[in-house]
Amino acid sequence: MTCQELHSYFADPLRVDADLSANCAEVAEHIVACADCNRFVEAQRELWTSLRLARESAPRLSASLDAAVLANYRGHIAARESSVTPARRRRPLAVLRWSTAVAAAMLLTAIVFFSSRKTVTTEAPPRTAHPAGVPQPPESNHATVTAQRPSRTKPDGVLARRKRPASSPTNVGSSLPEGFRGLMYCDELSCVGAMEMIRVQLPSSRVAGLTPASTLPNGVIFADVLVGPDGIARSIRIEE
Amino acid sequence: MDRLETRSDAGLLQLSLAREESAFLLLYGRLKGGIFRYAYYMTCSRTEAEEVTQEVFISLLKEGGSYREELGDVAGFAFGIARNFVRRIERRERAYQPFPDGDALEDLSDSLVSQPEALPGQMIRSEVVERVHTAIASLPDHYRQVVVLCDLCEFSYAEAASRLQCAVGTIRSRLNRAHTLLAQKLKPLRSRQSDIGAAGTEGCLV
Repeated sequence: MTCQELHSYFADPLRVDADLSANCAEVAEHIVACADCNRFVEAQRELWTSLRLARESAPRLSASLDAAVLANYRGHIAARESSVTPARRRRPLAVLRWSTAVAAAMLLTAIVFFSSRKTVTTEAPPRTAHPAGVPQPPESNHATVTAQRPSRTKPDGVLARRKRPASSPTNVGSSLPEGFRGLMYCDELSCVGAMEMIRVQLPSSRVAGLTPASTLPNGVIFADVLVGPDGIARSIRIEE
Repeated sequence: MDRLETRSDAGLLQLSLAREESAFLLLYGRLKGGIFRYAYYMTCSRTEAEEVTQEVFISLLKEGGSYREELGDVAGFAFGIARNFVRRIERRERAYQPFPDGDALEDLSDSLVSQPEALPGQMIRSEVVERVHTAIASLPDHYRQVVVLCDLCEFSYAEAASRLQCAVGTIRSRLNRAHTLLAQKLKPLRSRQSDIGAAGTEGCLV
């Protein structure tokens, strides 16, 4: 056996363990003649003895650990079962909650929708009650007004206006439409833009000086007012 | 139970997760020794080794569903968990000074009461074991892992290579270098080891 063979022989610790106890004859023969290999083998034996002592020093597992692990297992299984069971029970409850939420949302939407409609209805002033036998205001045939709707008055009866976009914007810059009287100075600079015509009902006493020849029995007159985009009345025409 | 004995570790794990307690006990019996010894040799503490063993089986129950048999056996899966726990403990304990393990002292005191004639040999043996543990603990981690697995846990090279996910040749070379380092670190022990066998009252008188 050469030195290299001896080193490679000891490279495998399992073989060392098996053969050192048997005191291999070849190794013994070589280390007698080789001092370096003798020291090497001695170091290997001592190392192996140390490792064996360390290996044997491992304590045994305590019974309390076995009991603790088993308790952990049972606790884990129990916890998993308890977590699974309520989930199954919770499932219909969750569906009920979701359906309730959806129904509430739909109900809320409906309430908002109808209340908005109701608000529009209530906010709009009621139509002026015309006494029986009183003729409705005649439709205007004026060239600037294409659509006329029944006018509405506020409860105080002073002014109720309903905006109606004029089909053809009326420019009063140069001249007023026929039958209208100017309420303010208008030129091309101050009266720019489309005008709106509003049908109003007014007490005849409020329009002194513009009172038409014929007045309704209750003292109410009808008038068309041209309102600029700034909301200021530009001209008025008393319905005859 | 006879039917369970023939099952693989993977089958036992599946049955354990399916609330088969006997399967879990059998799997625990198969794996606990290796995990505990590995944790003990790595941490040099019985308390921490038991903590690691317990945590490994808790993790097996929690994460066992993610185990895939094609990636390795259950023992390797559990070893990976144990290795992570050992590292966690090492990080946790790094800030503290090492404390003598009380178990060795308890064993020594027990032997003093029961076998007073073996007192010198026991003391020297305990000292040798402690120094060997210290020497192993001072090795670089990749050497220490190999020494613990091959020399102390008595894994084969192939098993150690599988656990550490490296080649068998790597295990062999690392072990060789680790032995060289250990032999250098344990040189002062040689004189004491020779006294272990001869220690006794006669030795003292002579």
